[in-house]
Amino acid sequence: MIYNFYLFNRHCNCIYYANWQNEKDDENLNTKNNDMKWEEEAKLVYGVVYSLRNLCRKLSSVNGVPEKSEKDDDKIDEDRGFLSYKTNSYKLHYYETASGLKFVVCSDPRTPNLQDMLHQIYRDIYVEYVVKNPLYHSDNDYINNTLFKNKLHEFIKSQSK
Amino acid sequence: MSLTAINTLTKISCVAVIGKMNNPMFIKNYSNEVDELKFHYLANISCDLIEAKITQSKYNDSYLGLLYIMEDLAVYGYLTNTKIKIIIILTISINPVKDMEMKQIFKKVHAVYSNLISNPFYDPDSRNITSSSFIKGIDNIVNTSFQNDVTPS
Amino acid sequence: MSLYKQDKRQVCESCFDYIFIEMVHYFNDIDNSTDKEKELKSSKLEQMGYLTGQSLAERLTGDRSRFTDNLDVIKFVCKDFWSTIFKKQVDNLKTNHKGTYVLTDNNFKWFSKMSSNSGQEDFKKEVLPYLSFPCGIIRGVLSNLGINCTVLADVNPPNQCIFQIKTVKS
Repeated sequence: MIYNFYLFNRHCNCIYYANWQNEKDDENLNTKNNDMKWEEEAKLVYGVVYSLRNLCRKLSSVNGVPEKSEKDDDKIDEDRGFLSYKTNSYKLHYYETASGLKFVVCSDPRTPNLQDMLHQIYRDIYVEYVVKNPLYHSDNDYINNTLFKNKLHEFIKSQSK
Repeated sequence: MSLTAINTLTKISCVAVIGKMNNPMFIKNYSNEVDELKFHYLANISCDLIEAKITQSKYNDSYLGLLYIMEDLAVYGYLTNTKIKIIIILTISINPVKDMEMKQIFKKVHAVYSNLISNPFYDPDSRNITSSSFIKGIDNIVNTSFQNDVTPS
Repeated sequence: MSLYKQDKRQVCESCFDYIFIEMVHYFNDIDNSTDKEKELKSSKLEQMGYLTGQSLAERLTGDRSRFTDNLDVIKFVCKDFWSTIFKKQVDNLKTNHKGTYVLTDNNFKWFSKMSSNSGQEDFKKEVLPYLSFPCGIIRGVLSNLGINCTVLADVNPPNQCIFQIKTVKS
């Protein structure tokens, strides 16, 4: 069950926000944060995610170099840094691309690792409908794009089943 | 009665590419004996013959076959969908020339021409084709055609 | 899409998508102060399409038999040519038998990724510059196959494109 989705660009702005909480009655979540505007909420989320990512980087590097396990070449587990954190009420997943885009998804605590799903959102929805859209000029604008919105909505719905 | 030397090898003597307005874009003489002016004249006649052939018969194929024979020269024609005429003049020999072989040669010339048109540096308004890759391509086709002719011993 | 039948080299389609977007941006962003300059820009794009269309015509019709009449040429454009360039056939072809042909494509591939939240009229205005290049291509193909014409395009959001071809009697 996916609760919401944030997309941050490399200038630290939130360029997309979507919320699916109201679709299912979940009283634990609806009561507290509804009075906060989504922009402020996004900034808070960004702060948390940024700090956690830096913390992980500092903890996992050896002499300033990210540690890589000494296995076969095909099985090198790259140190991908901060992936997710879990609390009693939700689990937050994080995916960062090489271009500095940050995909953040909050789901219920029981969901498994959603890295692949986030990667799919990046590859099949963001690149196809935002990067290749000639009418989306600057990468600092909020994504005001019906195709992107619908595709993302469909994709999340199909994943939540 | 003098005996003229019997020619035993068919070879391409001239390749000509004529544009839409019947303007000669490329004429190259590959034979040592015949004068180039004669080929210009032959190519000109061929244009009229091609147009006559199209209007007369409901010919749908690009390959128009043998247009006519003059002395020991045989003229073959080919009209593309883009109204470009390709004329190949052969010095004929006792070996018969097969239609399939001529069709293949024409297809190769057309492919070289398509490559030329796709070249962004090609100026479609230029009067003559001067592209070296085009000329090399045509030379290559001329040199590799009719290699399998058998010379009677 | 690769047209090099001998070598079978292939190019990633996204490369063309990106170059096409930047092409239109380049022509639209440099100093479009007056309407006259805007028209000049779109005619430059159209001219580029025209030259491209001419080369495409040569390459794509090389293997076929000769066309019998104008309608045959238009049908070739609607089927073979459209499938090669836009990966599908034209959905609807109408003619008034007096030299005007209307081609309707219900899902124009080059526009499939375009979307914005602005209203229909604004969307149409934003999308129109992207139509100059395809119009030029169609005009180039037809002119090289012997039909002189003008091509105008219109778009019905989200994806439907209508190309109107008017042949000019020479």
